[in-house]
Amino acid sequence: ARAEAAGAAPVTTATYIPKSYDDLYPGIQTFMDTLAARSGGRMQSDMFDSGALLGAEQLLPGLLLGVADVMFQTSSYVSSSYPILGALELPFGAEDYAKQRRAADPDGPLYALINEQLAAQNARLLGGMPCTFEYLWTVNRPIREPADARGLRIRVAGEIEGETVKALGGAPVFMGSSEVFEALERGTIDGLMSYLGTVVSRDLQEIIRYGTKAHVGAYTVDAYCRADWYEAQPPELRAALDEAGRALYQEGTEVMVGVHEGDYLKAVLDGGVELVEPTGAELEAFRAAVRPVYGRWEHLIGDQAVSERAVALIDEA
Amino acid sequence: MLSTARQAVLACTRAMVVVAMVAVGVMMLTITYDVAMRYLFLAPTDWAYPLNSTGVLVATMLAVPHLYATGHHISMDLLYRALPAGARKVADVVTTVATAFLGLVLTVTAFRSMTVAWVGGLTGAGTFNIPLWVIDAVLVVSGVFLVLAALLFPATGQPADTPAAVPGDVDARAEAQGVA
Amino acid sequence: MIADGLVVTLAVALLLVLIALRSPIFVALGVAGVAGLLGLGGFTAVELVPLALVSQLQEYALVAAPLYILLGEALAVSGLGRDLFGAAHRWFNRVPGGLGASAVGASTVFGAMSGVSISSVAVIGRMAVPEMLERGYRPGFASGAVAASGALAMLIPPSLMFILYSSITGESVADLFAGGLLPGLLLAAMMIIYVVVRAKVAPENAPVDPDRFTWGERFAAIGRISPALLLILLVLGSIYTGVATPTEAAAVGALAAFVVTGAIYHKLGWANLRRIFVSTAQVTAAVLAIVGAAFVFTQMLVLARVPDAFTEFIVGLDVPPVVVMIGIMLVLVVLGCLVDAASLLLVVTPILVPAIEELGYDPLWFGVLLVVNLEIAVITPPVGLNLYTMKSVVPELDLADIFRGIAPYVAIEMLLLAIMIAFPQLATFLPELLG
Ligand code: NA
Ligand code: NA
Repeated sequence: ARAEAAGAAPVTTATYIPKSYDDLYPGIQTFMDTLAARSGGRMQSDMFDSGALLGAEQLLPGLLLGVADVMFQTSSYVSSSYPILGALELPFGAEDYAKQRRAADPDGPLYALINEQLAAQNARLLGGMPCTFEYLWTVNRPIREPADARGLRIRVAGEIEGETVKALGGAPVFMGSSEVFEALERGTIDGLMSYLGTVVSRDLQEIIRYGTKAHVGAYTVDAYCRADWYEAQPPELRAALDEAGRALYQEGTEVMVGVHEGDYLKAVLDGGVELVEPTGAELEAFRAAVRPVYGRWEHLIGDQAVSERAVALIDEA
Repeated sequence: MLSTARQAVLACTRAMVVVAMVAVGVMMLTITYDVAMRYLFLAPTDWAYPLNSTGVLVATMLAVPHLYATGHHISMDLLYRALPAGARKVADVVTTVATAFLGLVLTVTAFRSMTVAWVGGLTGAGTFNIPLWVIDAVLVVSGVFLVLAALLFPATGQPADTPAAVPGDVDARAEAQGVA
Repeated sequence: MIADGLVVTLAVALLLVLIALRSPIFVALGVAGVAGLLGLGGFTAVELVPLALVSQLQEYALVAAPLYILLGEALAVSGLGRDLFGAAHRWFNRVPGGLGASAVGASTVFGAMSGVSISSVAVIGRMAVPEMLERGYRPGFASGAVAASGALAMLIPPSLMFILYSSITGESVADLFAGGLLPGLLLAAMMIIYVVVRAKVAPENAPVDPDRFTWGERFAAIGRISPALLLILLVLGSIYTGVATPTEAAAVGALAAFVVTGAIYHKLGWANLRRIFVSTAQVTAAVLAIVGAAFVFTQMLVLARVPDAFTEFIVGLDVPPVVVMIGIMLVLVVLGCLVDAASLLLVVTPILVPAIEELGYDPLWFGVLLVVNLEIAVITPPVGLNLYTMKSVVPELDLADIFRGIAPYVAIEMLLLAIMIAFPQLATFLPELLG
């Protein structure tokens, strides 16, 4: 109703992410601000955050049904439906975070490939924030080598993570992030796989004792719209949407990395969490152990040319 | 003719309730199994969680039309009891129309949602994925039978001193209308 | 904005009209929600209907709901209600108003085995009220004790209402179960004190009980209910000690209830097995249909930004938070007269919780406070489910007598609300101790 006064229909945007997530929400805000500015005020966002309108599981169906025009979503929730997104989630996919970040450039060739794939399902990525890598976090004992993970019940959020935990000999457990603290406390689970943001936003450092600092997974937090909705916009508004996606990728990621490497890492270390960093032979053992995940992912994609190309594009980024 | 249609619909809705009852029993057994696997063998299943949260939805939606046809939904009749007979008839028509309308909206929107989920290849997130169209299909079935139940088992004024149905008292309204 | 406000007002009016015309509550909520969505956003907004249903009914916290209903039904067919009332009668027979006190006591224990207040009224009321009437109790005095104490099942864990509150707010079910225990027991004690004092002061309400029992009979009665008592202590104990989640405890407990009913009470024939599952499916679907439809209605409120506007309004008020809280409680008591307990909880929670959190209140404490409000809602006319359940299980009662007899309990429960606002520890102490 607000934007109608300005003479244009508002863009209904939705996310499950609450405003209080100070690593992720600034990027989302930047997207909305950039969109409004670049469209000359024609695309004002009418935002429903914290899952108020659409919860994490309903975002994608809601977007496709037209309840929302733009959504911000973590890839792990949707990569079972859109396996191509798994490219940036694979364990040890990019050697380092800098490369992962370059690969996720909305103007880069990987994004073009992703959008080519998503078009068949009427979805489009506008841009996103590649999150800092996921580590393994445990309560009772550190995971220094793959064998340490055997028999552990590890909470995961998505399919690729689940396959990784299985490949390491653990049992993946799916539950909402609001239940994780209690589950760790009660011993329903032994640990979780997540990035720093989940740990700090749920105060898990109070109960976690060990973190394994290895690139066992990753996800991205992206802005999506429907492909046909995007195509229906006049060129200048499409440009505004693209520019907003770029702002999310560049400025949003910058803020997130700063928060993670600064406050969040400090909070975790201050909480008494011991970080173990596998190197040399241990690291190679992890890499070897998770190989089956790649096969599983290629099977989900169903087109070897596509999966190989995606892996190559990350490698060359 | 009407009676045959009622019996056919009632047979379907009753079968749906049986599925709902089985679903609750299966929930009890699979969660117990998962607990045993989790605590005794450190190997929880990856299917118990998504299967059982879907189980609640399925058990609820499948039972809704039969509960309507047999007059077991929660409703409030204080004002209704005080109304004159003519006004009660109007109230009953309003309820019938409202229920049929809700069933229709559910059928149409769930069908749309099912189509989008099918075309878009949407599934839940995890290593055990239920395709989203399956869940929408349950809503479509529930919606269709709610419309049928509303039209074939219209709300009727019960005599004021007949006790309302209590748990365990199946098929009360359908019985009053000469079927079941 | 004004247009949105008008749509919401009309939708709320439609909701109340449909409820008054005896439409099923889930139909009233669903139709009012759809009408509001149509007014706010046209056909696109109505696409929210399946999304809302799926999102709310697939909430994992709700998995515990049918399982606790199943547990309660599986125990109930063993004749547990009669045994509980019999045992309480053997222990309370010498106090004034002994049968009334027994009914409250039996409801309290039954409340620990059932999560649903109407089951409690039906099971205890069907036995206790005719017995009291036969002994010359005033109808209102007899029915009031049962209709009010039946609601203890919502406050004393396990409780369907806490599960619903958790499914909306994400508060831990285990913490809510712990939070409800002390207020539930206190409320039970207050009700028993009222019955005893009233019977003493005005004996025409409850003639003196001529029955005498030996201590042997008393302990034998306890022995008869002890398997069920032990089961429920294990279920709640496993939750409080953190051995099991509330859902796990419900599933294993339900299975164990079948074993107790079958192996110890020998009441698990085909007929009872059918009754257990039919009842469970009915109660589950009747309540959860309201849960799903209420979510359609509240998503309409979200689309109109009602929760945001309410929070802004509350935070902008220039009065101490406790005054706001008392105001909220009074509004809830009035709303509780007009809508049923589940709808009240489901509709107001998403509106109130962000606002009270903004004021600095604990959502766990507020959840328990809200359920005390529901205790009032289910016994206040015109819309008070326990009153009609009472009438339906003992049809010879006059509704006017039932209404008269319930009034003192409304006052008792409002007193409990005041105590809980003054001493929040009553609800937060146990969860903190156990957490
Ligand atoms: Na209870
Ligand atoms: Na009421």
